[in-house]
Amino acid sequence: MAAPMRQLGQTSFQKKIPSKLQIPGTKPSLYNNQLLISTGIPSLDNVIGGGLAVGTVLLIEEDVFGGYGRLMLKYFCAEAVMTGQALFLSSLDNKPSQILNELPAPILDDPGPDSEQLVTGATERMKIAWRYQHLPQFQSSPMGTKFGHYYDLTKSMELGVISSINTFLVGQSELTETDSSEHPMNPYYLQLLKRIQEKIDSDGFGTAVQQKKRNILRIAIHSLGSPMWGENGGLNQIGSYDPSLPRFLLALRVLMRSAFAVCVITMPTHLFCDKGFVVRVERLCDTVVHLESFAGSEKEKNILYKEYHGLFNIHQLPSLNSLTCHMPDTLDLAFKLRRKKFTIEKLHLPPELSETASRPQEDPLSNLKFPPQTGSCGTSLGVKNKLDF
Amino acid sequence: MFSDLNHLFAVSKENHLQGEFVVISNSKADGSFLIHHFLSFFLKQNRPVCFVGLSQSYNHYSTVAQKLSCNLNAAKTSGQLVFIEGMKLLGDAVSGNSLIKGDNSFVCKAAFDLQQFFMHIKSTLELLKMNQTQDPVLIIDNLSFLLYIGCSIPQLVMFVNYLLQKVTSQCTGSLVLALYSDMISVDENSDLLWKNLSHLCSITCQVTGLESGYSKDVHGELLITWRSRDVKQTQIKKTQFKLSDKNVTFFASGMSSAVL
Repeated sequence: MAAPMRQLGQTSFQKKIPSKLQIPGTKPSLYNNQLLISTGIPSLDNVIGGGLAVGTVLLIEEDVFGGYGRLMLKYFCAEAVMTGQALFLSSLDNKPSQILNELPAPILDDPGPDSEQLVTGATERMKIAWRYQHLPQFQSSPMGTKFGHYYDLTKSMELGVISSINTFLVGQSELTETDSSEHPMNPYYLQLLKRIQEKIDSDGFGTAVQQKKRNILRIAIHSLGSPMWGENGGLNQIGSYDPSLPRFLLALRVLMRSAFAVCVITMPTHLFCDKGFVVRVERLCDTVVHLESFAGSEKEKNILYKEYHGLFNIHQLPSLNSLTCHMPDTLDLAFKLRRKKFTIEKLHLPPELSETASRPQEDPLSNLKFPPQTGSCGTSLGVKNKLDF
Repeated sequence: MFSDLNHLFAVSKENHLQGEFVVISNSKADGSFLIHHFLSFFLKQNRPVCFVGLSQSYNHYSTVAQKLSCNLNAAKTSGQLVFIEGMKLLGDAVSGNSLIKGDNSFVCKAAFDLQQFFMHIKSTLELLKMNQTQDPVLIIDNLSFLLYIGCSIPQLVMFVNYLLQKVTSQCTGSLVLALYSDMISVDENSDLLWKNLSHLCSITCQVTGLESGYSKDVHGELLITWRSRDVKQTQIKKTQFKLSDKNVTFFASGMSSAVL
């Protein structure tokens, strides 16, 4: 079974990962044997089924001001630095080098559990179950490199550390060459595709290429589809349908499928007036998450959300090489930003403990709109009784 | 191939879905299990199959088929299955890094030339019909991708009309198409395509999410409608389903084991 699959060598969706193929910063999925990498946010990895499968595209639909989307992209890039993977970073809204300089610094002062465990394990002789003693120690991270790191947002990563990995920045100047004026596609998207293709080919990230030491290419595209890219929400100058962005995403999916690469795109989908176009864009990506920040909205003051900074919705999860996708408990989550940590959590509603309707966020409003009616059956002296109706 | 699904479609010795045109719509739930089912179902019937994969790579279909105990590689080498890697052809055409060979000349300028594409499918089907004894099957997953990359609705409807003529009238074969459509009409064009196709077809399968929202234990609803010229014979079956690694379980609405 494995032989014909390897012969094809076309896709990174190999069912069985050859045991010798150990790539730093990856782990096999518990569900479907896909090779996974971390998004850089461990709580996000958990929610989407362990991590991002190699060969897929993650779309982050940005919040209105784009700040949190950008932050998530930085985490993704920082994780590349920590695991020694290659990074391809593109942006037209900001300079890519600026994003690279603002990466959060890793928190490294946690006690190295690996080394400590090994030492104690070697010295302590087993008192019971001694026949398991000669078995090899269980290692939580067999790759040597930890999967998923924590970062301190107050400090930025040292430039020396960043320069240790293979980075490739694509900004305005790299995307403005126009050689194919005849092509019916947005020139920026076309150039970006070409750059990604060149990078995959030149550094041997393709699945068809035999390599002794494999590595992963992380592709981060910031604010794709913003006005800087010449995108107009799927409409061209004369107001008819412009399929450039769907075409780009389809071609990107094809490129990813045949490479050891993972792509993360942030996109300001709230700028597209046609919601149908947003749905199309989502369908052409593999994993889709949506951010909704509370900044400047009514929800900021809502007591229900006081712990959080925004809502986090999962719109789509990929089913790769299987009938099902990962099914989390809920698709509606929330995120919060602490000084050192960006976490995604289940949105907990406050428990309804008292018997009377006690929703503090609704009561003031309803009281204002409908002042206590004297005609109702009950005491109606401002104090609501259980027997009132 | 899921035996429960065969039961739902009333598959018997006489009824192998010959001459049927099945349209599968997905909205808010993943109905790709139906495509995988039909692919392995027809291959097991020894029917020759032409499969156009526009949404996933060949490996994906092959691995899932393996889980349903069906070997696509063997079917491909024996000539029973012709797999057109539409997604790969299209992606390569968009990035412009492939020389379009004579065989695949329907991919031009980052889009599909539907007329050329039809001619290509037509010749494939004729070849299949010549080499194999049974009637051919054409499966396209997923037609919406053609809409997304810029084919217009009239073009697509015309294209499907031609295919229908070719497959079910001339060869008495079967045609299975999948598409995305949002019943709440967010994407008006997808909706329009769905209406046009359901006007043409003989069986519609609508896979929708639950009205009450996402659930871990019930993955969606399946509504199968048999259309016929005789209004009285129109038949509807509705069921909820849950997907597992290798199987699908069906149950009546509200009768999920998680609820009971």
